[in-house]
Amino acid sequence: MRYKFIVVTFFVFFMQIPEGFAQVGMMFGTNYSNVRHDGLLEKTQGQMSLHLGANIEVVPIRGIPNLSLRTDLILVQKGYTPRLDGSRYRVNLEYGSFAPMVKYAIIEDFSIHSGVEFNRLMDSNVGEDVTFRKNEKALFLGFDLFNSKRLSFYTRASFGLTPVLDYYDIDPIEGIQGRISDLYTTTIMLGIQLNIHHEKIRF
Amino acid sequence: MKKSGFNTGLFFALAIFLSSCDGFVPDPIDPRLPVYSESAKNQSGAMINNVPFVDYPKYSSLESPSSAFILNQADTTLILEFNLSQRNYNFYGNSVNFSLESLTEADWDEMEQGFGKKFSLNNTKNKGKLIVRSNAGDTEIFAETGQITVKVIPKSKSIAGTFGFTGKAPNGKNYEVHYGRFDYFFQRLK
Repeated sequence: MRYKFIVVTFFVFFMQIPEGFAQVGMMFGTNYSNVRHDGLLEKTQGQMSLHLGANIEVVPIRGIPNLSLRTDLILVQKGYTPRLDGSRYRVNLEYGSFAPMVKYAIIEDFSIHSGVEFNRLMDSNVGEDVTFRKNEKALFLGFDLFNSKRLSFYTRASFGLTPVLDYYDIDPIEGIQGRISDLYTTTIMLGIQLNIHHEKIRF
Repeated sequence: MKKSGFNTGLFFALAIFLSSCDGFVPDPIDPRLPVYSESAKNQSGAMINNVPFVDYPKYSSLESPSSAFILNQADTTLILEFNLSQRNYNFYGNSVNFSLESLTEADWDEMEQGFGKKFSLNNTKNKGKLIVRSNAGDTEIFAETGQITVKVIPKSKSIAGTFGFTGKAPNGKNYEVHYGRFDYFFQRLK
């Protein structure tokens, strides 16, 4: 419910901008992800996967054209790879991500951006419905190159603010000792954006 | 009309796919073992001397969806036996067997609360053993210390829990059964 409220509020905000400019883009790329944890896992390594999405960017204040608000809608696969007995086991967490952000162009072809991801778990190859939390929040920071061109490049590092795992603390002999919440995602994204409207357009 | 070989091939591919589905749901911390669940997933697993052994539904035309044996005798004795194999092996190399006797209505009530009821395996009423199967015959290793926790979930018609114990074989070899967990279909008739 809270997430629906955030999404609706954001779009109402965009609708209220009378003289805004918008740019629509498609994005695609690869990402490296892993998890931070409190000693819960023995050996893990990150994993490479893909993401795909679309975004809209507006300049809300005409007097500050370098400052823009952007929202990404992305399908992204995060996860981690435990290494046990010399074998690797991929744990995939597939999210639908809603990521509003603030972007600032330092020069024409170089801008930085930062915001919060609201991720909704869509599927996992491990555990059952209640093993992983349905929602995750993550803070991210990144930069864009050649944003004024039709094809631009971006990179972004995101750090999970909320744990993704809700599971049981299982002792080898004594069994369940309680519940645990742990595993915070860390993701580095690298990709290409196709700016559908090369020039920023009016609403 | 000429028959399409493509359709025949597609049919056989689909038939093989449908007859060989793997119902294993891994644990998020140790994916070699099944996830601890309380939803009648018909799976169990344990680390036996640090080697993962599991039982999980293998939906093939030649195999049954579960190899567990769960018997409730007049609500006073509960017998659970899980036949475990190494992943992707069909040979059930080990079994773990638990016999819980003199159960009372209070015990059953506790089994429906919290994380379930813990039964210590170092007394005469509650017994646990590991059965190691080989060509030379079966070897029984009785639990010397350890426990089994049993939870009955009427809503999902399942019996779930965890277990762990240690024991010594007649030849003096020590066995450790760690991180045991199970989740099977179960319906108590009242």
